[in-house]
Amino acid sequence: MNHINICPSCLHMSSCVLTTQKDKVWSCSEYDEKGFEENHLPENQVLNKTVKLETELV
Amino acid sequence: MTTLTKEIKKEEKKVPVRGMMDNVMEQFESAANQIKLHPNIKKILSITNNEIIVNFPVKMDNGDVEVFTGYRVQHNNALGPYKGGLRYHPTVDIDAARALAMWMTWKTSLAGLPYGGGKGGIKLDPSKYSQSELERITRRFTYALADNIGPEHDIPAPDVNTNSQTMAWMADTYMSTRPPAQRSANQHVVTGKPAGSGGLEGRDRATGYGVYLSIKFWAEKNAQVLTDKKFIVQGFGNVGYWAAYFLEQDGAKLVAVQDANGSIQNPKGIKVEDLYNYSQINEGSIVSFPQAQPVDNDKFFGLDCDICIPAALGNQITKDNASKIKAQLIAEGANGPTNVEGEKILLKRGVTIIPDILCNSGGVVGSYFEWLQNRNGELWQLNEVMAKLDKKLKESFDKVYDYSRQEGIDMRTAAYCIAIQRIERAYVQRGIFP
Repeated sequence: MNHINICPSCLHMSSCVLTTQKDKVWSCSEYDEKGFEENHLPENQVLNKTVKLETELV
Repeated sequence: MTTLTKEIKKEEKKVPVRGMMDNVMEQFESAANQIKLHPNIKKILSITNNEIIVNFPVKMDNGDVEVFTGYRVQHNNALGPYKGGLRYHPTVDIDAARALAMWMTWKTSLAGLPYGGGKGGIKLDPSKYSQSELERITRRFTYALADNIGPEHDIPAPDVNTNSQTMAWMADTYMSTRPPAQRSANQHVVTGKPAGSGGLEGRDRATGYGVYLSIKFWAEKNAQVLTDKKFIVQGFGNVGYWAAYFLEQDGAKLVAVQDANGSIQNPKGIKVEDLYNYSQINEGSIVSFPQAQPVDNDKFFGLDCDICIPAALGNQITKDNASKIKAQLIAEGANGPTNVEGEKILLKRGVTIIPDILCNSGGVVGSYFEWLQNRNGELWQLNEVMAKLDKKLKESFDKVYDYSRQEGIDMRTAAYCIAIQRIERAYVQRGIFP
């Protein structure tokens, strides 16, 4: 069973062209949490990739 | 190997779930067979050392109390403190953390770092909470983890939905729980902090720079130059953007990009900085960039190029598109972009794959530098960080490349062999207590 699935909470879920296997994604550079950046980052930083949420596996 | 004869009781530890990380498990099995890993060490590495589950209450903005569940899985620490991210997501659970923690063990080992592997997080949807609620959740989680984390024991980092702010809260909370004279000596309990609070200059570009370096090292080994080499990038986030940025500086030409919104191409070249600036005013999307033409998403990986950089997500190069790929080199900026069937086809065709575990390890090496910087009470300049990354990544690349040539195996299998052998060596030298 695949437990990790980040697509359902991603802003791009409905329009994303990267994969049709949206139940198998556990890491993605394009991931944006729905409503997260707008709620939690200053306005001038939203969608600015230099400060985009770090989603790399460290 | 006479010291490793004691049977581990199976009921003491749980076996990680396979479904999620089939590719990684398959690679582990394959590498273990290749190096003839001792069965006792295989037993140890197939299971996690510790699994921590904490339930903790947090007061919400409206005065209600909510109870959250947090996890931390510590897979193996034969080489040093556990290292790995913390993610905030509704799908976080112990199985997920288990598989990802194991993957971190291989990654840190291959990178030659004095770390083991860990992973964790909190099961929650962060979009449902205010900034101040997320701060209290993070701080209370840190408090609940208590001495299960520590700068010389287990060092968390950002992952999905956690960032430098989350790490700053964790560091502050952890340091506040120490005696006053020890507080500043504990700043390296987490990495990925903001640059002004113990974070590393250049951490944002470390992974992408590592992808670029891997390509550069490969070119040097094969007596090729990057000037005028055509490359395509899937994903224009931190990794894809910075890899493209550094490749362009070396004379290579970006000819196509794909992001979540669509795909564009220009065989004459796309200026990386122009595309980046365009995406900033186009809600983060590269689509409709004026100096490029749209291209069918399904045809992206089959476009004419010398180097292909999948830097977005897993399972992108499969049996369906591997035979159409024109590139002679695949540099895996993302985690798991080539699946097992896709890889077999590419290798048969003579295409080289620089595996994710090596290619995108610049991020974890950057984390190690931040940890070292804090531990030694130093502040490193950007050019110093880049030079150190260069040196560290060259060592890893050369080891994997040379081993793959020497043994006649692909670079991914070679990378796993080196990673696992390093841990095996530590167990053989130390033996098993008592």
